[in-house]
Amino acid sequence: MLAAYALRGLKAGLVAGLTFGLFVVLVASPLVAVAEERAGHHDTGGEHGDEHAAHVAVGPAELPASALSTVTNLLGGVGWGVLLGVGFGVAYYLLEPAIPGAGDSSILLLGAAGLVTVSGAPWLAVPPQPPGVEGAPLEARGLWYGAALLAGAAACLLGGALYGRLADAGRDRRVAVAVAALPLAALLALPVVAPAVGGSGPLVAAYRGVVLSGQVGLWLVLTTVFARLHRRGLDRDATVTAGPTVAPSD
Amino acid sequence: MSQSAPPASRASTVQDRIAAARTSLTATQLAIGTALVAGLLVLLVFAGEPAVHESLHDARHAAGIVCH
Repeated sequence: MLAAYALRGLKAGLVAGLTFGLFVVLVASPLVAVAEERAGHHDTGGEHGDEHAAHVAVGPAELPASALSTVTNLLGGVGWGVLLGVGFGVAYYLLEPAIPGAGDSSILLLGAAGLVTVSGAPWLAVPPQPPGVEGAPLEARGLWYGAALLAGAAACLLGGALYGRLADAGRDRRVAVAVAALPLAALLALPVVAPAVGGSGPLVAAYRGVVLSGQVGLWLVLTTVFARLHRRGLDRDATVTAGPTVAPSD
Repeated sequence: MSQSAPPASRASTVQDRIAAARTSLTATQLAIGTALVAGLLVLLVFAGEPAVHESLHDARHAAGIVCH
C-alpha cells in the first residue's frame, strides 16, 4: 500500500514539478537574472565577486550556456516536484488516519502542512534572497533552514495531534482549531531568534512574492493531482476487492 | 498482496500504517525509493560542486532553497 501511495506521490510530483520547472524557466530565471545584473552593478568585489565574474565570463558562449542552463533548471524544477511528491505520498500514507477530515480535504490539509514545513517555516528564519543580497554565511543559513524545517514539521504534527485529542474528547471544533493553531503561532518566533536578514526594497519584495507564489502553486498542483489519483486508486481497489467475491460464486 | 491489502488500507491508526508499511514493502521498493529521494536531495539541496550548483542555480533560487 505504501508503494501505491508513494507512486501516486511520484506521479503528482512529476506533474507539479513540470509546472514548477516551467515557472522557474519562464518567471524565476529572468527575475534572478535581473537581480544578478543589479547586484553586479552595486557589488564590486566582495564574496560574491568571483561568482558574478563567472556569469559575465560566459559572454561569448552565452547562447549555448544559457540554453543548457534552461534545460538543467527545468529538470531541477521537475526534480524538486518529484522529491516533494514522493515525500508527500509517504507522509500521507503514514499520517492519513490522524489527519482531520477525509478524502480531498485531508490531502489539501497535509499539503498545507507540507508547504509550512518545507518552505514556510524555513522562510521565517531564512527568507528567500535574490542573488547578491548580503546575509549570514551560507553554512549558517543552511543550518537555520534545516532547524526551522524541523520546527515546522514538529509544529504541524503537534497541532494535528492536539486537534485530534480535543476532537476525540468531544470539544467544540472551534476550540480544537484554536488550540491546534498555537504551535503554528509559535513558529512566528523564528524571525526573532534567527540571524538578521539582509535585503530590502521593491526588488527583494517582488522576488520573495514570486518565490512564495511558485511554491504555493507547486503544492496546489501536487495536492490536486494527488487527490485525483488517490480517488481513482481507491475506486480501483474497491472494484478489485469486490471482484473476487463475485468470481468464486460461479 | 491483495489478501492483506484491505485491512491495511482501512487501518485506523498511524501505528497500524507503520506496521503495514514494514511488512508490505519489499527490499527492492525500499531501495528504489531511498535511492530516488537521497539522490534528489543530494543533487538539489546539498551538492556544492560549482558545475552542479550553477546549473541548478535558478531552480534553487526559485524554490527558496538557501543559495549564495
